Amino acid sequence: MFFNYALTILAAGGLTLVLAVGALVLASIMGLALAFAKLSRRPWLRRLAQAYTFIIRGIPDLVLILLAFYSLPALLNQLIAAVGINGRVEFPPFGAGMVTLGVIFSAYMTETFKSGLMNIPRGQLEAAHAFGIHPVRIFWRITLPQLAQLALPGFTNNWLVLVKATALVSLIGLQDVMFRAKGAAEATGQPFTYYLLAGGFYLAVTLVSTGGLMVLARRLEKTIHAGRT
Amino acid sequence: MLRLNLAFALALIAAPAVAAPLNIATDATFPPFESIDENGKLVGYDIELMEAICKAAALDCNIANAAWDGMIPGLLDGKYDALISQLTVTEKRRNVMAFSDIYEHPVFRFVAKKDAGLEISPEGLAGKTIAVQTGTPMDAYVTKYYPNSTIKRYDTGSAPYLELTGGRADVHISYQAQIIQAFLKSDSGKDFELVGPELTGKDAPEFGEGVAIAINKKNTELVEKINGGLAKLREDGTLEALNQKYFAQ
Repeated sequence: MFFNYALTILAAGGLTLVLAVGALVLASIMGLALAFAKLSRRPWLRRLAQAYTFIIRGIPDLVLILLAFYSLPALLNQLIAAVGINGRVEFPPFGAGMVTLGVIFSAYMTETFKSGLMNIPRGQLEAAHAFGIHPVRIFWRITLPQLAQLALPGFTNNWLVLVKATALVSLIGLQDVMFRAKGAAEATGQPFTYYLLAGGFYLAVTLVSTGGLMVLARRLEKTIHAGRT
Repeated sequence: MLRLNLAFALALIAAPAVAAPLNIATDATFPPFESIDENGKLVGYDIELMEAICKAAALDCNIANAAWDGMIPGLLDGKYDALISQLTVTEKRRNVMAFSDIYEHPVFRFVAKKDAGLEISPEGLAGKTIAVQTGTPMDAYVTKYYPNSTIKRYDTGSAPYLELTGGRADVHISYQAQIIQAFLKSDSGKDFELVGPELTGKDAPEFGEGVAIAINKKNTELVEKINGGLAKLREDGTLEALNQKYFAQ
């Protein structure tokens, strides 16, 4: 019996991972855009990005997820009904969970990327501009490789927290590792067994990704040093 | 990732309506009424009953495991067509949702350590600790009638049993069938027993009128269809057989 329940829990691990990676991609793209916004010369853009990260970081993840899943569609449906259109907006749990986690972690990524960007020597960028290199090329060849190295420790941190935060989406009915573990725990009356198993899953994911990111960090260091000499 | 049913709804005006299966939600954390088996499949009294009703009423049903917190909002919002999860019918709930005919009158009981010598009454349990699952009829009942007891509330059905075996609660109240199935029959429940009287909706309004299937208020057609199916099961003895299977002692 334990073996079969364990399998259903671990099978849900695929969903948890897809959710986490999806949210990470979203958070990284938004975080990078927001980091540039925070370092922009336009004051309104800076303030907008500032307000965004302040609000998102100030509200508990759980509250944001519940708001996005229950309150937002209800509000939109009321609006749609008020305008007299016959239709309904509905967020599937997976989409709502992924976007919300992406939004939450984009705020943390912003800070990580911002400090990374600030630590790239300004002289390099000025020199690149002086040579008339296209800004897109500057971004890909000069900014991004160095940012990758500088932001990697913070990025790793955010990723580890994000993986664990995916457990929150079990509250909106997404059948992830946590949801399955709860089902098994209640069905058998052995909560410790199955919650420990779920804990082991998250631990394994964080262990593997910490190892993988360490290898990546070393490789990035090498390529950048090789490029300089 | 946002599913816009708006476009779909507009397309329906032109195209003939396609019957989609009904979305029925349950919170599968309450054996023997609803839980998941080793393969992740939904099992239990409510699940078997719902499947039988759908068959009898020729309804295409899709029963899904959902989180309790989201079920009632999901029903009101149209995400789910119906809920079957040992929902007790109360006046308050009738204000926001429709119910099928009542299919079961659950019995509520207290459970405590054998030979604890507890007298089940507000005076007898004064100063004692009662564990309940939060937001349930049992919670409403002890909150109202046992003001001198310490009430500890938990958001799962199994946590109160851990408190009982750990000695952090003196007594727990729940559905009798759930206590027997989820606790007394297990190893950890062997030193415990049912105590006090059998309680039903007749003893206190907090226990509700009985258990029924919740349906969106606007969907009167579905209420009728489900009631039709339920009536058939009553006539052909399926409901009685289910009661025997799960509640015979």
